[in-house]
Amino acid sequence: MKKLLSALISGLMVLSLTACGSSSSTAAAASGAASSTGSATAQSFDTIIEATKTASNIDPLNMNQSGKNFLWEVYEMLFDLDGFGGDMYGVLADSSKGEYKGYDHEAGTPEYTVYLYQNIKDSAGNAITASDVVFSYNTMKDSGYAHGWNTLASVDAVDDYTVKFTFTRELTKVGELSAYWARCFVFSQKAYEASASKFASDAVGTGPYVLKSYTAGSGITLEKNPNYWQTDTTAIHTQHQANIENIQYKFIDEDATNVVGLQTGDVDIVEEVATKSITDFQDGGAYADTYDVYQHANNLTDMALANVSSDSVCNDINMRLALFYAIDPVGVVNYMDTNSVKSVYALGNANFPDYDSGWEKEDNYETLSSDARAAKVKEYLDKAGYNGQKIKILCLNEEHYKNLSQVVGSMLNAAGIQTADVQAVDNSTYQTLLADSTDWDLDVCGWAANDFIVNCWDHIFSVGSTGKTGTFIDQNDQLITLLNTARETATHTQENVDAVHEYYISQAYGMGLCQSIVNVVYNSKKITKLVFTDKSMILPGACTYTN
Amino acid sequence: MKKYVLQRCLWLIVVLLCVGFLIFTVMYFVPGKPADVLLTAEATAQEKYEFNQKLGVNDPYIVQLGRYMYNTFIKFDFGTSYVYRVPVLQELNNRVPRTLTLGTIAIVINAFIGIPLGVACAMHQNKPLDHLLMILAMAGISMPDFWLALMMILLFSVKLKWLPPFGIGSWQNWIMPVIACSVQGVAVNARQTRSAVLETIRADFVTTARAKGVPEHDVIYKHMLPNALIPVINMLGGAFGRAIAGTVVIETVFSFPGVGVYMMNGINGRDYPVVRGCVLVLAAFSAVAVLIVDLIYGFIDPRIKAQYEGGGAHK
Repeated sequence: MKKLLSALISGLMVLSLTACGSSSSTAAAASGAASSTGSATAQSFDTIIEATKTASNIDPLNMNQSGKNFLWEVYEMLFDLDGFGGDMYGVLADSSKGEYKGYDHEAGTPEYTVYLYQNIKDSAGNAITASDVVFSYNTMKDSGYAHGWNTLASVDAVDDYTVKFTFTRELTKVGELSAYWARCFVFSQKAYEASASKFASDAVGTGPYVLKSYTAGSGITLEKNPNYWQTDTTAIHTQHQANIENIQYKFIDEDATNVVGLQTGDVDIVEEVATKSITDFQDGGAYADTYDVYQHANNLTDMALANVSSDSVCNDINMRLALFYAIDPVGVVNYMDTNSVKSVYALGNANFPDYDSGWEKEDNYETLSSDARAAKVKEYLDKAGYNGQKIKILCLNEEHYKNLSQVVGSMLNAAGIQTADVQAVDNSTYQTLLADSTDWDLDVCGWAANDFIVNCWDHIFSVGSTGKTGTFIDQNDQLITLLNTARETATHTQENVDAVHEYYISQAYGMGLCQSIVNVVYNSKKITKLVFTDKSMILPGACTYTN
Repeated sequence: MKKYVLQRCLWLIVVLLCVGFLIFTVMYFVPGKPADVLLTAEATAQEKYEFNQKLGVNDPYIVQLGRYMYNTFIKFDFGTSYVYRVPVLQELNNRVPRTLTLGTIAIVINAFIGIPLGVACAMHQNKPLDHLLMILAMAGISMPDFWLALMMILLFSVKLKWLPPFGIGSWQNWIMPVIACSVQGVAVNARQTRSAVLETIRADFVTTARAKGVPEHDVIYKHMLPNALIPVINMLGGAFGRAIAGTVVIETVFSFPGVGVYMMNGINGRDYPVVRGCVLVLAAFSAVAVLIVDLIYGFIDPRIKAQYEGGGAHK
């Protein structure tokens, strides 16, 4: 009986082990049986399926929420950006009119006049006029999601197809115009007011696709708009093409489930696959005949920022320098996996057009070699009179930031700097703690901008939640002056950008840690070319296909 | 009996009022407000304050509490989700049936497989069948449901391509989630039933029934089982209440849009109306489940029914 029981237990264990195992071993075993499309239910090639994070609703006003990729297929804006940091081009604005291809502006005034196409209609047949643009902008402004719109004084309809934007001042900083014109979808006032949910669970837009179905928490189906208003094909930008009949977005939050979806052929595109999971889809992998991997560097830069308020030990510049010399960015990248992240040498990355690669050769805490750091740490700890205070590290409760914080903490400990347990908290608690300068000394976080590195720095150093000049920086006129100079279009020169970089390095306000590599896995048997928005989100409708 | 049921229904209202008060108070004191989650980090303090002001979360505690209790229990309005921007009741109307279906099927499987297995084990105590089934039950209890879910996906979706790995498009989408939800319950139920039956199997009335020549089938199902089922039914009632709320892991693995995920997202997003609404609905379901369990007790055990009819609320 005992032998029988032992045999049974052993058998169960073996059974569970064979059912377990990495996806690669499973995939290798299944490779002989895997079909080119892989799915038990064959997908029609008039449909492309993308897995995205769950969208809480389909509200076009809160476009920055995760999972909202589909908005760019259903709705349109006055202008759009030709890629990250790219030029602005007219979508609903008629580029054939106006001195600036869609708009007019008299230098020295705060007024800008935009000219609309005269044949714009949404998918319900409502004509879009200037009053709808006014309504859309006012609704966006009142929604609370349009932060940073503090220079917009009013939007007025001059006539049916002309809109006047009046700002509190002339917009002379880089990226300021696009922050208004390429960040607000336009929709019909009539359709919006007729919607019981105010577009939270239904959609009526002017885009090349229309909403066919939406199941909250499950997914969205779009179909090509048969009555798309823009009939002049030469005026349709690559990003606004409709090259596939149907697009399905499936809401999947788990990386493992995304990988399974690719392996079974239930999903054609996944925009963010963990590096550890892409082997099967790369050359030589089990699914390489069906899928391909496109890698690009994330716009987000991960960084460590110091709390320079008087409540923190980092108030002393020598302490800050000691901390940042103790953190070895090469070591950070090696720890986080060189296939998943790459090095950065500033509070920003090389994606930005105004990034200066010369910063990588400067002599500061961002670039110093690993073996020379210990001496610097000791020097600045002595100057700071460090007596063992524990450094409090704060980060979001996400695996990536927790790992970063752990390696930063370990490096500080190795250098003789004590650290408290890492505070990894949810977003809401994080914002609350960040606003309280007594709760943290070092913030491990990520920052980005849509266009230029100077705007990224503006996000970091400008007025934040506390209402002071930056959540991390006490009133610092010199920094703000340098930043404003660099952000002005007329003086947005590399020299001025360098000056800001040099200043914040000299003050040791923060340190770039790394930049994540984003892995897009897509069905290469169907898709020949991927097309992205300026926010680096895929536009399935605009991609080109083998048929 | 009607008086007993009426009394329990009145207590249900009191329970829900207390739950509403408690959950409101707890959420009120949790750090962070909706603007911290819904607005990006670039939002200024003023923008966040105005955003929260529109949502009414800057008002004093007593004002918010009064408004919440009035809207919820008088107007039956659970509010509109800050994140989803859809009335909570409307969203629950979509999600509760899915989670309820998942939970109900799992409970039915628990009962119709777990109980007979437990009876079989008890009737063959210390025999090979008993040992084998108890080993399987132990394995079932030990397996985390999310692990089982992932293993089933690897086997049935990736390797065999029999079933879809996620979503709710067709009936095939429900098979793996139901199995993942019910395996542990079947195992626990089998063990509980075995234990309960073993307690009654040596009772005098069982010996008497056998001595009277009652067929063994009737001995088991007419005499033993009703006595043994009291703790099992109690457990099933509790499991039903948990099934509504506790499927968040399964829902996450299978991308199943149910109440569990809805509530988890509400907690993380400081979406107060969602959390309050979900907790109230779950409390109501749990209370109703307990009431049904108590009524079933009365149906199974005449002594308990007599207590209800004679003593009212006391069992």
